[in-house]
Amino acid sequence: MTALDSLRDIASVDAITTDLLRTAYDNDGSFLHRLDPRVLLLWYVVFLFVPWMFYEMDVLLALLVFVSVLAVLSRVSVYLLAIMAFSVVTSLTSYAIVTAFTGDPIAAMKALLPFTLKVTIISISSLAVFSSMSPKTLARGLLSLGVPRQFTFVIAYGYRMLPVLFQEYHELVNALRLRSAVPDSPGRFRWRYYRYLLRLSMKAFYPMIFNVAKRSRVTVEAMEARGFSNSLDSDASRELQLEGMEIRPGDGVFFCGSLIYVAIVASVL
Amino acid sequence: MATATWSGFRGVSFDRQDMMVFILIMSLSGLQNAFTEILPEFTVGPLELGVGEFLFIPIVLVLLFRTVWAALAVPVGEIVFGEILLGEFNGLGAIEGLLLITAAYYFATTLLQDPENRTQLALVVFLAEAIEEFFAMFIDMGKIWIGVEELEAVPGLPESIVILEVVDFATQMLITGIVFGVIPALYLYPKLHGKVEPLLGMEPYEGERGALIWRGFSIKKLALILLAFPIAFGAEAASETGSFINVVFRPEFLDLYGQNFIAVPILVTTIVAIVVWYRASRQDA
Amino acid sequence: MNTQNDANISVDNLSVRYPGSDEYVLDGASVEIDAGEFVAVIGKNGSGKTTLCKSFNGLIPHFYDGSFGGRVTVGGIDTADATVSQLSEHVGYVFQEFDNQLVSPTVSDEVAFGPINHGHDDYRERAARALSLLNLDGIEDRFLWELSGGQKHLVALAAVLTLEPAILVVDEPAAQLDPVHAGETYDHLAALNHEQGMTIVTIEHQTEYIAEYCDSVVLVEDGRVAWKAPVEEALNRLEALRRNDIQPPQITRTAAEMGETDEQLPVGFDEGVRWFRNVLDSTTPNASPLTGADAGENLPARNDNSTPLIRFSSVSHTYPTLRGEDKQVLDALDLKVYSGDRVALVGSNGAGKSTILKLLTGLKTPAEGTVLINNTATATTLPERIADDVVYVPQNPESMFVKDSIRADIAHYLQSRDQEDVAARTDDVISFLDLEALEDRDGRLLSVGQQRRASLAIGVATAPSIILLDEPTGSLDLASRTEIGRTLSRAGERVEAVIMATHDLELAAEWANRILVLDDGKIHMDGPPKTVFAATDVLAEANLEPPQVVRLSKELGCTPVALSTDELVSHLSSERPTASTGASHQ
Repeated sequence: MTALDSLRDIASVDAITTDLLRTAYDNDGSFLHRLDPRVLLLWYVVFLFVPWMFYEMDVLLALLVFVSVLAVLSRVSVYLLAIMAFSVVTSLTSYAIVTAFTGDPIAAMKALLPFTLKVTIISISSLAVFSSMSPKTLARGLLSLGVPRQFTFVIAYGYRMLPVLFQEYHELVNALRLRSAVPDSPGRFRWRYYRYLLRLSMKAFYPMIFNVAKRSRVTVEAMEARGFSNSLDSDASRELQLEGMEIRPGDGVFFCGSLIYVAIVASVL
Repeated sequence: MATATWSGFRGVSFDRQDMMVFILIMSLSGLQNAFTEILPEFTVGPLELGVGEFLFIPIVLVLLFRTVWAALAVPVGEIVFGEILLGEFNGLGAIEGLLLITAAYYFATTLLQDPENRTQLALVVFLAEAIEEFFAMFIDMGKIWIGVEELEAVPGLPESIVILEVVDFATQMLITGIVFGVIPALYLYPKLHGKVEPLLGMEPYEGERGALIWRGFSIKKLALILLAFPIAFGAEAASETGSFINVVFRPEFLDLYGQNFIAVPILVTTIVAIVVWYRASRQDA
Repeated sequence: MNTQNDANISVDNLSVRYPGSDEYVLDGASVEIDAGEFVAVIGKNGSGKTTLCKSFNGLIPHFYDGSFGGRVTVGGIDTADATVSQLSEHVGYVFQEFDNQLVSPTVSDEVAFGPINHGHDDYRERAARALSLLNLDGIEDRFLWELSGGQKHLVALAAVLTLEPAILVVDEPAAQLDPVHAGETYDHLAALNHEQGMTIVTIEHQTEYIAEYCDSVVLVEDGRVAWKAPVEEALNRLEALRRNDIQPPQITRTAAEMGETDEQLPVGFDEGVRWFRNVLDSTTPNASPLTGADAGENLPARNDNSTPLIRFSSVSHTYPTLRGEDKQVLDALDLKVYSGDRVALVGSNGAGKSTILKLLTGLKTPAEGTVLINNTATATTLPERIADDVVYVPQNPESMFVKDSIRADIAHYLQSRDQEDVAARTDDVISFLDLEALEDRDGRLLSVGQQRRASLAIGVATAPSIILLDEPTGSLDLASRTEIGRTLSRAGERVEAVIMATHDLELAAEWANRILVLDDGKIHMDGPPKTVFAATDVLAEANLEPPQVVRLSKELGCTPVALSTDELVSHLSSERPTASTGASHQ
């Protein structure tokens, strides 16, 4: 690949954003998606603690299998899973290398493996839960759990703005590129190119800040011109926002089933 | 003049200007987070070599608007854009970020007394990142301490953990703190100061020429901020949770299956607890 | 449901001063707007039109610091005593930056936002009603960022209608939309006005729309409401309109120049055609060719052997969409542009205009086919290098401002290329384009007109041989448009070709020597303006409507068609019987 190609690739945020947006916007129809957000959040809190109660490898492996199945069912992006796997492996390796100088790397690995598994289980359950919940569902779940509306609102707002912001930022970087000069020689590992692009992407934030500031002002005015502050203390409005959320037998089965699985694993293995 | 005040959030007022600032900082902090996620980086264990984040964006904005809400908008933006939307959410990490970043950045703003003093500005930005990274380092170590059985018994492991974490702290401070923090912030802050605030209809912070950083500093304040946040959040969560159980948690199928159905999850939870407790005690024996 | 007193607006001696400014934007403005009126608010850029309208729903004074005086009553409610939230059920407001008004991910969430905030449990019915009223059924589940600008504007409108306001304020609908969508929006507003008796206030500077849709006109001048008058009368006050940089409809201008100043001039198109037929003594509809040098207009002379400056060879381009399918924007397009060409790319939104410009910057490379600039393929050249010869001025002038002053923005290009005498050359550009007064200001804080001018200057300062302009006159008043024209003509001797994507067919007619009609990624017609504008069927197929003066000359049987009011006037005057016969019609 020539330097030119790589410069194009890095700069073509199009492909990457499209990819990321697919991850962010395509979460309908997965298994966990159908569950009530409150149950799912509660389940998540429970599974933040469960792995820490065990030290045995087989129990942890069984838990890992369980959350992995959930992750597959909720169609977690393979890309994200790969990143996670990579970071787990490199993390262990780096400890092994450093311990080789300070002590016994084999013993260290043995001690660290269960810990790493626990962290992995939690990470996978995070992925499963949050990539299957649409931001709207999550916002409703949090609202019903008492998080103030101003903050649950920004989740939905972020969902709306993410592609717009990406697009706008991309255009600013492009506008800068058209008025800048590329370094004459790429340098070793093309570092001059990378430095050039990095500088552009930092500079592009200056105009971006002004654009977003103007937008925030209009947005808040427009929200109020449709009665946003009324929704903050009105019970009627709150009821409508939470309308249709109900805990169905399926939610109970999922929640209890998970706990029973943990119990069985804990007692059998 | 009449002002529409939005419903307060537990005594601390949160008005339309706070909302504008919140949306502004949240969007930009989220955007820089999502963008730097895309950039390639080398991750070697806990060591991250690469662009962690464009720290100068959120810190400069918080220093311009100087409220708790401004500081809170930073982690919220990162969570909403960088994690929830892109599916990389991590519950514990998010809570850690909410507490640490908010506290560290807010503390830093109280230290900036003279916005035209560049040394002070540099120091404040550096401190914001240092406080955050420092506590994050301890939390990391703490997690391993709790999670690894008999850590001290493994020869060389505790040392290597400390070495790796300290090296990580140092590289983070150098890359994120200085290269993408202090240096660009020194350039950006004066350019925005006095220009962005009026766009949101606010007066720029004047400070006091020649005021020293120490005027804004007290150990008591630092301790209070660092303690107050976890407590505040804990209390908030507890009280709100209490109310939600009364108000909204009314499963519809209760009507269908009768009140007895509520016993099922309770029963299951109890059984699980007993089994786990039994296992744990057997191990000790 | 809208009773009389529910829908009137009364502004009494309103004065507004924003913080950080010594001047009052409004200083004693008073106006009465009756229930059921369709009113246009006009005035210079920055005259306080928007400030006046923001007082109707209480954003002024509740959302701004500063000083306020006077009293605004809406449907009997004093806005000072009500919150913006309460007023939102009486006054709907569609912002000029309507894109920033939309806060929810999907259309259905967006239209339900208002009624849910107000706790109306019939929000689903309200949303469905509003959507079907604007013919938006079927897009409920779409993400907002997937929609076109026109659709988003209608969604913003629908989202406001769900609160069932008696008064609706729409800020500059025609400025941000292409003519087809602007017309559609106005049709909907007219229907709301006639069928539901809604009071409608639009801020507008395109008088053709005002003439066609509005009942009366409010002129804001020097911080006051100078007058409010019925539309025919208002648009006949040519002197006052020009003083406020508002271009009267072409038809009115042409009629005025025919010399019948003491007569009420026509303001609408149909009315205008009748008026002209009458004046011209309809017994001899004229079909004789226009005399003069322009009659046999051709594309600029060129040597067939000369190499084109720009060459597209069977270029196709697609965009991936999130829904999995690719959207084709250009379809095997061939195009050559020669030195001396001033090309106007016209076509509705999505026809491929912007894509052609982006391909020429090298920021996008063609999916199929090649784009050559000076015989170099863009696909193998970095955009930064292409920018040595080509400058692109985007639709949103703000994206040209990357520095904190206009001066720094102009110097940026020269500095980044390590050119000599940056300071001196920057000075030259600034004085050449009369930007001294603006050079130290931040581009983002200027008025729209100043922004356009500055963004053009930044582009011109790169001494390009090819200039690409994307919608250079969007949302500009008359003065700013004239200035754009001047800037372009001063662009410098190196310039060989200018390509402009535009909805503004009036500008295209007056400025271009070659017009390309695009539709569905194909070139439907390519020729000199007279030929293209005479082909009304091709234009109609591409969803374009020629300027009034072109349509009028066609109606009156002039061939070839006239492209400017001057041309039509001189033609008609020569055809016209005599002044005395003309006078007999009065």
